[in-house]
Amino acid sequence: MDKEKEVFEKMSDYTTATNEEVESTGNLLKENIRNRQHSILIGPPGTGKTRTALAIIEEIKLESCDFGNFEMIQFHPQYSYQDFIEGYTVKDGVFHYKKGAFKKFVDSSDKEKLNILLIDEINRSDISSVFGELLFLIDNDTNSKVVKLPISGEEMRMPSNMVIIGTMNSADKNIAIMDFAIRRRFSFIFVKPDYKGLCSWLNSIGIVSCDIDITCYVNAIKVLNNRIIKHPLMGKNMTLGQSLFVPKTGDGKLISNEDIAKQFNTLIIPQVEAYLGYGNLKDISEILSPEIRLKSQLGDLASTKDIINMIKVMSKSKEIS
Amino acid sequence: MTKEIKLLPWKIEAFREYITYETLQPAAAVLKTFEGELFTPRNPEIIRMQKLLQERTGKKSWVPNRSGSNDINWNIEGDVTRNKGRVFTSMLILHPKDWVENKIKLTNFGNALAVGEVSKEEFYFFIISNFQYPHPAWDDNWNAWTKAEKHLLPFVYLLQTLILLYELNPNEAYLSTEEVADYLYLKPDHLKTPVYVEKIVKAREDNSPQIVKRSDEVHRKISDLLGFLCLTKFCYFNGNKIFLNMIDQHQGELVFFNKKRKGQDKLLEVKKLVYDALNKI
Repeated sequence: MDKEKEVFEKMSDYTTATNEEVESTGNLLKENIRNRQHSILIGPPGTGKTRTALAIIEEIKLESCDFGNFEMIQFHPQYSYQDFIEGYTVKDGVFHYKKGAFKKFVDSSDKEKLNILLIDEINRSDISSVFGELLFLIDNDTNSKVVKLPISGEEMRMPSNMVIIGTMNSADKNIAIMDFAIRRRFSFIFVKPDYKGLCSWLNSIGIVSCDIDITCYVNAIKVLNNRIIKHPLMGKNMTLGQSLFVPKTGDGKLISNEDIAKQFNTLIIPQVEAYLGYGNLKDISEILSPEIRLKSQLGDLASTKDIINMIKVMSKSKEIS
Repeated sequence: MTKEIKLLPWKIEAFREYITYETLQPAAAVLKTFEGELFTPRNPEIIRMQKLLQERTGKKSWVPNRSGSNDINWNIEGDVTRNKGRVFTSMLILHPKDWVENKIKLTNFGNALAVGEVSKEEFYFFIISNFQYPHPAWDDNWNAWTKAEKHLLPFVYLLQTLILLYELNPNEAYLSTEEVADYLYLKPDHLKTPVYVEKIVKAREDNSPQIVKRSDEVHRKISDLLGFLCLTKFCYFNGNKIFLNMIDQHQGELVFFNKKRKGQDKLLEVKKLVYDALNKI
C-alpha cells in the first residue's frame, strides 16, 4: 500500500509557478487614489488602517507635485448631515447658516490639484444620513452631477480631483449600517494583521524573557488569529490586530513576561471574551486555553505563568503549518 | 487465426465525455469546495456536492439514479464514487478514498486544476506524461504490472509509435485498434517500439490477418486510449484508424493555410513530450 501511495503521489504531483506577489494594502490604496477612486480601508481593530492611510497620503504628497489639500475628520454616532454638509448653528439666540466639514473642504480645496478627505471610523455614524446628497454625487459617473442643497440653495458638485478615503472597523456589529448602495460607491480594501510589521515593531523595542522570543510570540499570535478565523462566531473580521499585542513599556524599557501577561489580561482576553460572549467558557477554552477559561470563569486574572505557558504551547501548534 | 493470450491489463475509464478538460476542471473545483467531507450518501454535504457536480459540469449521471423519486434525497446505490470514482483517481485528481479515511482529498494536480492553474493544453500534456501502468486506481492493473515488474506510459507509448511511423512515411502515421492489440499490447516496451513499428509496416504490406482475438478487455480499452489521444488533439480519428495530428486540424477540414503547413513544429512538440515523459521514468 505504501508503494502504491508513493507512486500515486509522484504521478499526481504538479508544480505551479510561484504565486505572484499579492498587491499590498498600501499599493492598492495608492493606486485607487491615483485613479480618483473613493476607498474604505476595512479591518479588525489594531491593524493600522488609519496609520496606513496617513502613510500613503504622506507618500503621495512627497512624490507628486499636484497635491492640494488634505483633511482628516472622524465620524461618531452624533455626527450629522449638519456637521458634514450644511446646517444651522445658534448664536446669541439666532440661527445662523453653517457650512459642514465637507462643504468647507470642497470650497477651500485647490481646483486643479488632488485633494483628499480622510474620514476615520466612517461607519460610526449613520452614513446615509450624514452623506445626504453626496451619495448621489459620488456615484461613478459623478463629474456631471449637480445637486441643489436644501438649506443654502447652492449648487454642489463633487470635484473630480477629490478623493474620499474612509477607515472602518470590521469587528463592530454596527457595520451593518453601511448599506449596499453606499458600498458600491467605494472600493473596499481589507487590512489584516501585519505580522511582518509586528516583528519589526517588537524588534525595535526588544523582549526580555528567557521563556519566549519574538518569533515564538508572533507564532502564537498567528495561531490565536487562525483559531479566531476558523471560529464560526468570529472569522477574519474579528482577528486581533498587531498593535493589540505590543505593550506600552515606557522609554527604552524592554518588554517583559509581566508586560505581555498584563497585555493579555487587560486587552486580549477581554476582547476575545467580548467577541464570544462572556460566559461562553467552552469557546474561550478552545480559542485561548483551559487555564484561562478557569480564571475567566472565576473573574481572576491569569498569572504570568499561565499566559507565558499558553503562548509557548500556541507557538508550537501545528495548526497553521 | 486469432488466439487468446493472457495479457497485462490496460485500463482507462470508458466515460469519454467525463474525462475531458471541460468536464474535469469544473468537477475538480466542486470537489475542492467540499474537500475533507466524508464520502457517504448519508452525508448531506456529499449530496450537495453531487448536485453541484451535475450543475457545473452539465453531466447528469455522476451518480447512479435509482432513488425512484425526486422527493427522496437519498440514493441507496451509493455516492459518486460508486459510479465515477475511478474517473477522478485515474485522472490523478483525487486520492483513492480508501487511503484518506474515505474523505475527499485532492492531489497536487487536482488542486491546481481546481483553482484554474492548469490550462487545457497543460491538462492533456500532464495526463499523457503521467498516466502510467501500474496505476493505483485499478487493483488488477496495479497487481499484474507490479508482479510483472513492467512499467508503461500508454499514451506516450502510442505517440512514440506514431512518430516512428510518421518518420518512415508521413502517410502511414496511423494505428488501428487491431494493430495496437497485435503488436504493441503483447509485450509493451518503450525501447522496442522501432521493432514493433517494423512489424506493423510489414503486416500492412502483407495484409496479415488479425492475431489477438477481439475482446472488450483488450480492444475496447485500446479504443478508449486512442479516443483519449484524439481528445487531446495529438491525434485525430478517420475511419477505424487514428492518425498523428500534425496540423492541429481534422484532415477533413483542410484549408489553404493548413495545406501549406508541413507540421514540423508539431512533430517537435510531440517528440519533446515523449522525450520528457520517458526521461522521468
